[in-house]
Amino acid sequence: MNPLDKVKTRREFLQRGLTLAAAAATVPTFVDRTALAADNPATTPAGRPQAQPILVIVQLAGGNDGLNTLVPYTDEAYHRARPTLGLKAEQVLKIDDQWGLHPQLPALKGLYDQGLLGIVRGVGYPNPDRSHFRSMEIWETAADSNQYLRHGWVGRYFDNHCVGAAEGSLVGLAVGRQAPQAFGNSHSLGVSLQRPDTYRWRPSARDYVRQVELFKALAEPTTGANPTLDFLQRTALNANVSSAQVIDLALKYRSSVSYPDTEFAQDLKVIAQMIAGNLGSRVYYASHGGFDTHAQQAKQHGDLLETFATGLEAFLKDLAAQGNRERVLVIAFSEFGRRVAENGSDGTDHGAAGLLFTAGGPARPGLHGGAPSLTDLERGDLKHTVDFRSVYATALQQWLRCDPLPVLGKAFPTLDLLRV
Amino acid sequence: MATVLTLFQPTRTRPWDRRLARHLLERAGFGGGVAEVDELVALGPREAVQKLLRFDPPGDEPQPEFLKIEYDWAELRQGTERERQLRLLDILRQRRQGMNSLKAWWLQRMVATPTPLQEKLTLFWHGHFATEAQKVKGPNMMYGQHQLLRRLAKAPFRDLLLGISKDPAMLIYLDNHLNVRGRPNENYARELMELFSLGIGHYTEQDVSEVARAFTGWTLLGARGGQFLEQAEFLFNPRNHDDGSKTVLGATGNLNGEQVIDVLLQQPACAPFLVRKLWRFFVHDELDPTEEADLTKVANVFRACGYQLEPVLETVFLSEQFYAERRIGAHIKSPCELVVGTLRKLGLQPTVEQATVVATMLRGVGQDLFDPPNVAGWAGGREWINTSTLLQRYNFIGALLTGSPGGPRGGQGPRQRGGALPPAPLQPPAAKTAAELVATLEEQYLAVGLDTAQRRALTAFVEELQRQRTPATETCRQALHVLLSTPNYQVC
Repeated sequence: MNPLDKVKTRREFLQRGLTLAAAAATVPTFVDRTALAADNPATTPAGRPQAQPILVIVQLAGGNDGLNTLVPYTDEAYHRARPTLGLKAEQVLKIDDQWGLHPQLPALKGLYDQGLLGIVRGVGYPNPDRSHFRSMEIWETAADSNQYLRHGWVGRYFDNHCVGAAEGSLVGLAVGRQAPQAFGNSHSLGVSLQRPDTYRWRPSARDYVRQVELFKALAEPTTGANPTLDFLQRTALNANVSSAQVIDLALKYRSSVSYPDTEFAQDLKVIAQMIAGNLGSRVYYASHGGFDTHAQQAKQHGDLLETFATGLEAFLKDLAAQGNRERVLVIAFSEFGRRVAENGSDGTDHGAAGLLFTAGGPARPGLHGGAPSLTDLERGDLKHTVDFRSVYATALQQWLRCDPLPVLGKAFPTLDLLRV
Repeated sequence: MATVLTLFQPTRTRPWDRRLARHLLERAGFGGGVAEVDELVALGPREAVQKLLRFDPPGDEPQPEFLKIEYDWAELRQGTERERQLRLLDILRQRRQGMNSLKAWWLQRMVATPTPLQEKLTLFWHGHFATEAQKVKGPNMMYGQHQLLRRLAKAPFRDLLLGISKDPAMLIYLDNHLNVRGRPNENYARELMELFSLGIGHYTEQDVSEVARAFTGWTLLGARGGQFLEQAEFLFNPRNHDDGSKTVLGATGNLNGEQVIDVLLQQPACAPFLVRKLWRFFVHDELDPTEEADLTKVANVFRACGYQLEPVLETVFLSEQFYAERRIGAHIKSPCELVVGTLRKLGLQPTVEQATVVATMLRGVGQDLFDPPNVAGWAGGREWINTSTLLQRYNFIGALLTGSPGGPRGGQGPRQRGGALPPAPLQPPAAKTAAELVATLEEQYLAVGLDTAQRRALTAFVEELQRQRTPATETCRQALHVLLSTPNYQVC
């Protein structure tokens, strides 16, 4: 069915956004289907539109200091290693008689108390790399530390388990300026967007219908294009196809929850809008950066954590109001934790094992993973107790309900992280 | 000098014409209008490259007005809490405005410059020694770093490494001003090797610790001034310097930062690392295995001539490899290349106000000047492009061409954050027919032309506008708006 057939009147045509119409001639069939599904949930391939599980990945970029996020406040080794930065028992928000959250994390404590948050300790991988860029690549491609993979792990999930949508765009949506490396795959790069209202081409001519028609024609994939141009043409097609839907959904949904005025929270709000509209994406991605706290860490780190926690809190509240919280699993990770001992500039250098958060309806609440020892260290860093790919395997198998093996390349034990 | 790459020789089938001259101007500069291209055509390749390479380091210039951030240090500590807060907010406002003006100031230079390679190299080094104004705070130190990179744009690489190691903005950005003996801070040491000189895999974690020790005590005068620091000077503080023995990449001794830099420059990994980056920036985004042999040759030249940039660039810009057919139109323009190039092709010099708006818009398309995404700088190539940035690039160009709502004399183009723009004054090329107009615009703006069906569609669009007796300027504007909102215009 041609999406244009859905559009009855000229007014409706314009309201729905010209680009959907503009792209109609070249829309691959599956997008066609997804596009219509947005209007009519009953027609989704699964037949149960509300049942489709959704994974939201949050990247905490720069290397979050896990030890000052979830504080082992009774551990003397902690206080010895952190004479300046260490958080005292009376400062932390206590979870139990050993562990407490950073004082700027009441929002996260609230989620924890409501049973919506899991915290996995000691997450890392063998032979850890202390470079931001390499370590992030290892996380995003789910590689061994001496293995260089071209595609992202989410991209491989798209390739292997979203067949039919494999050439398409809407399987994954990232909010932000950069497409995540995790989404990189052999067929498409998914969709990236910043804010829905700027996510469309704006014509300038009075006779804009003709100008948009022309715009469409000039974006058409051509034969014999060089590889770079070919890549641009495919991205252009994805952009044109997704643009109309995104704007449409964003216009429809008004959130009843007020989000903090931070870029991170506003990014999550866009994701909530798309989930509310049933865009059809299975994986969403957002990023919150600045965790590279080598110096004068205390205030910066507290503020960063607060932004993360308040954003996440609003997002889950919004999802609950929509009735979607049970369909959404959030995973928040960082490329590494930080060195156990603070340095001489009131900060911490790059480390190894760190924390990973799971949140949302399906997240089994509580503390997970073995707590790494603070005295048995590797080059001054925490040793990992959980391989991050076990978390991925768990999410793939138990949440997205697919075989992790083709995605991760080898078997990793799953963990008891979910209420499924 | 004897070139190590095959020298480009124009032939009857591949003459030195506008197309190849434009390729050189796009890559070694930001592209330009017909007159500029024709000048290079007339010079011939050798002279054209010489013209681009020939530029002097900037002389002494007066400090731009916008760098004056005025407050009384003593006053900041006086008065009520509220008064102090208000003064602080005022300083932050001045700094923000100063940063915005600095961005606009550089953008104007890129558009106006008679020596585009100077700007392009400064941009290269800014991405290489990436420093975020967000962390450094305040335009003065960012301006200082910019002047350093501009002054050393084609200096021997040692001067750059040493200069940047003592640069106040960099010292703050990677926390080295707080690096003290006993408990060193590794931030600068790691990035110096990983991102600035050798690349990952060419040093060990032990080297990182040792280099950090060598740079202890490299600090700033008044470093502990914290957030009120407006200007600072490099200071070597022997009391905080670790003068014990260190071993860096096999070299042992009481090494200091400068000696570490010399050790780095002796590493076989150094020249190839830099050359790869230059090649990706100027020649080909996506290296392929067939280029490895050439890269090795160029790296040998770079090392042999004491890490001088000019011989390397000359070799590259005069090579057959650079003008190879498969290199033309295979580079994804950075947002700066896209925008500065468009303004230069249109023959427009933005006012300060317009440049400020444009600089703000650059952020949305992923190249916020003075605020790269992280210490690795802008990755370039395909990383510039995703569905979001592609649409925003189109709309950015649309706003330049057609103006944005609320701007002087209206404008129908896309609304943009950061303010309004007037429609660009256009001088439509002389063309008798629609087909001729399309051919001219394609030639002037695209490195890879449209295909036949696309050309036919654009010609029909223009014919219809002409049939409706649309003024020539408006016809040209509408056609150009679509022509520049294409995948084709994103490459050069």
